[in-house]
Amino acid sequence: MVKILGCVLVLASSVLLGIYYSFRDGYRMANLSEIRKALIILKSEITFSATLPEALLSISDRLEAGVSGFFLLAGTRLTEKPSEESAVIWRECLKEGLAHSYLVNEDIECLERLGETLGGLGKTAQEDGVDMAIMYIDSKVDELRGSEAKNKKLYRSVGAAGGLLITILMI
Amino acid sequence: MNALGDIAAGYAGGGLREALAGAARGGLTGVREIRVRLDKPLTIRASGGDHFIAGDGVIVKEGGRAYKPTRKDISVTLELLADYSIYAFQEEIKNGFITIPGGHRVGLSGRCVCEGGAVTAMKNVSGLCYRVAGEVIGCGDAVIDLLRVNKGESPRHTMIISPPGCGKTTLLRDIIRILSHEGLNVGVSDERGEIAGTRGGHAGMDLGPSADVLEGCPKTLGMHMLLRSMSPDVIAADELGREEELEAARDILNAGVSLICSAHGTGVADVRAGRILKEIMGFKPPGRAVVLGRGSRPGLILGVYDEQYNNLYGGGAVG
Repeated sequence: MVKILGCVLVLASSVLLGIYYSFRDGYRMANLSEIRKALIILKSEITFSATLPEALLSISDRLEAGVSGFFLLAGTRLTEKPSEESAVIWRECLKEGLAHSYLVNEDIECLERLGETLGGLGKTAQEDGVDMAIMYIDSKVDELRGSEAKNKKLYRSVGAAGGLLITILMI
Repeated sequence: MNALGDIAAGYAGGGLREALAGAARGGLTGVREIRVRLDKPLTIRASGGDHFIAGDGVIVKEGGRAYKPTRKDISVTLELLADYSIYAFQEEIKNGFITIPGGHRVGLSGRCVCEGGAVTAMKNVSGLCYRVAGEVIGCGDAVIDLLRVNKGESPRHTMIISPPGCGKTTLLRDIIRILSHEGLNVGVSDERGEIAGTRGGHAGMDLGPSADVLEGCPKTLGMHMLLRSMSPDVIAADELGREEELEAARDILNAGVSLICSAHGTGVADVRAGRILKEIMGFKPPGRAVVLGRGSRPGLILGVYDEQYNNLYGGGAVG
């Protein structure tokens, strides 16, 4: 009886893990799309000479929960005027504010690179930096969209098959 | 917190913050200027003259023991001065300064990037000069009655004349405050944000309840915009001198609105905006010229002159 219960648990966990992984790309795409929306707002705020803290707080107001926490955190930290360079504050906020997002290291690195140029000289340079990040997001979302259906099936099958394998081995 | 403490907390980075905060805690008073130069002793001009400041904020006698700002201190400070948004302060940087809340003006020196004979940007900033704005409430009381025919009425056209650093802006600000408290609508064209000390819409200085401030707008445009849109009784602008500013001032004189302005000069015979002074004095009722000089401290009133250039003032200091 205990053995059967254990098998059911293992099987259910593996299937759920597979389902979770199959949805992860979708959640990442949703996060990236939100960041893209934020960057478009940021670009227009820069065009109209809003300061970086003002722009980030304004973005956090206009985004849905998820990645908005990062913009709120960064905007608030910069408003407090710590004795640090903005790139350092930006990096710290990325770590804290996006810790529970579905973004992967590659995405965070792209945002870190953006943070190194943000707030510097020249509106055009600022806008170009934001455009670069948007281009990265677009290419990633396209890539994920292309492989989403295939990966969904793969993760679910691997989850179920893995669960079955472990169950068989346990029996 | 005093002005030095405010500057240390929000507009100085790295070791500079520690040094200035220490000096503020140490009770340094009458701060007028803070000089920050790369790898050179940190200096504060305050009551008692120029002082070298050590890393912990203590006043030291030898420059060798003073704190020497690093490249990182200056770069973080520049970010703080510009609210981490140097792109949004390009125009100010091109003009060589950034104004921070409280009306303090921070001059910049470094490598200028020029194009077609004009400065387009500044790189490798290596020196900062904080000019601490002084708000001296009541300093205008000494002259206000000499500037008008009857109390409560709009003042005569007035020009405040002095060399730099003698209290022109301080006196102008207090005259605005007095008139504004008397219920006159005062339009303030504050191109550099030094009169109202405004940034992000928050006024740092007391200009009274009836002052409308146009911040960051070139004076010429600002004076015209206020004249057309805000129905002012008085328009105030600081440091007139350029040809187009004098034209805008003339439009105000002809529109029946009182003009209170300031200009660089050492006296009524030596003033950059001499042509507009002549017009102010020739107006009906005739205008006034207030001349300030540098005594033991800024703000010494040398005279309030009428159209015959008679000195109506008995003597004293602005603040």
